[in-house]
Amino acid sequence: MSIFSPSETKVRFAVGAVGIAGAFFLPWWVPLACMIGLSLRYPAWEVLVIGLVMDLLWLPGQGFEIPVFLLAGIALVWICAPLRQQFLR
Amino acid sequence: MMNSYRQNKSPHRRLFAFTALVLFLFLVDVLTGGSVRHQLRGGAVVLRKWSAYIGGSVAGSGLLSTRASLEAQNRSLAEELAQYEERAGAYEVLRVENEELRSFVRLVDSTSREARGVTAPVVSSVRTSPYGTFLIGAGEAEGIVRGSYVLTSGGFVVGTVSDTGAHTATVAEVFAPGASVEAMAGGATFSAAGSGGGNARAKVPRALTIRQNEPVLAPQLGQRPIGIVGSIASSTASASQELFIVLPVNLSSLRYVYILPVRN
Repeated sequence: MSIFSPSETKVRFAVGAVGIAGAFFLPWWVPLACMIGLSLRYPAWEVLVIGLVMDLLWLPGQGFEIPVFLLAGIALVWICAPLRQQFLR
Repeated sequence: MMNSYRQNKSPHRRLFAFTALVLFLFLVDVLTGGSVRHQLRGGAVVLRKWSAYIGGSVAGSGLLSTRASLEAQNRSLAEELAQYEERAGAYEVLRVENEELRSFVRLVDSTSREARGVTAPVVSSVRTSPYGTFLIGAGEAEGIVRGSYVLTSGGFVVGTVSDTGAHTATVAEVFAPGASVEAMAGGATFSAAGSGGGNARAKVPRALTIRQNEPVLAPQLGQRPIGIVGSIASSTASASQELFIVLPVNLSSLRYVYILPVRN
């Protein structure tokens, strides 16, 4: 297999790594795009990790705030599950 | 006959386990007062330092030197411009304050503005956070407490400390997206709605005389300046005019901030 046709595992790992690194260094829409991309294609637990890291790092911490990225990650992973099974098999 | 609805249960089981795990971690963090997030933020500061070190080493090695020199020149010019803009804003604030003070017959000496603070480095990009927050490299060990004001070198309040770790603290921007702050300009008080990146907008009566570049103060932040009036949009058909308030310093170019403790 050539390097120009990477396996699904490599693509998933790369997108997940960009998403997690993006939570620390890149604009917030980069991890969000990675979360959406991963959840559309794979049953990816990385989406949940990215959402959790985003909220733990950047929530202001003034009392209880809604963890938007974590909830979005859970929603994406579970809402996209039937779509993945229907169209990407 | 094979069941067409038969599915591979393993990925779903793993997903379910991870969902339960992340929820558990988040709850542990909330219940323990942020123990997990403080560890993570400490790690983020270390990662930031390493990346800055590696970036400096690559730039110092001469690799990508043309690009690096152009970027450095661009950055230094942008910082210089931001400094001039901030100085102009700070000058305007001082001029207005001076005029106000002259109107008093007896000037009461106040030492609140000379309270001792701490200078701390900004260790995250303001564009990374979706919640209008950023991290600074000083925390409880350096005497920083929640609610402290975070100022630029020109004296503009950019935010308040919202959470503290041992050596890190989170700053919530005054003009965070969705945030609302009571502001004052042209002798009137109004509510300004933050839109992120050091920008806010407010609606004020059209009869109010407000000039462009006029300083905007925040009564709840010790009458300190939070920005200047960038532009004004008014129409004869409307009873109100819209103010666009800007911070006269580029938030992305902030390297150090001054933390002023809150007086009780």
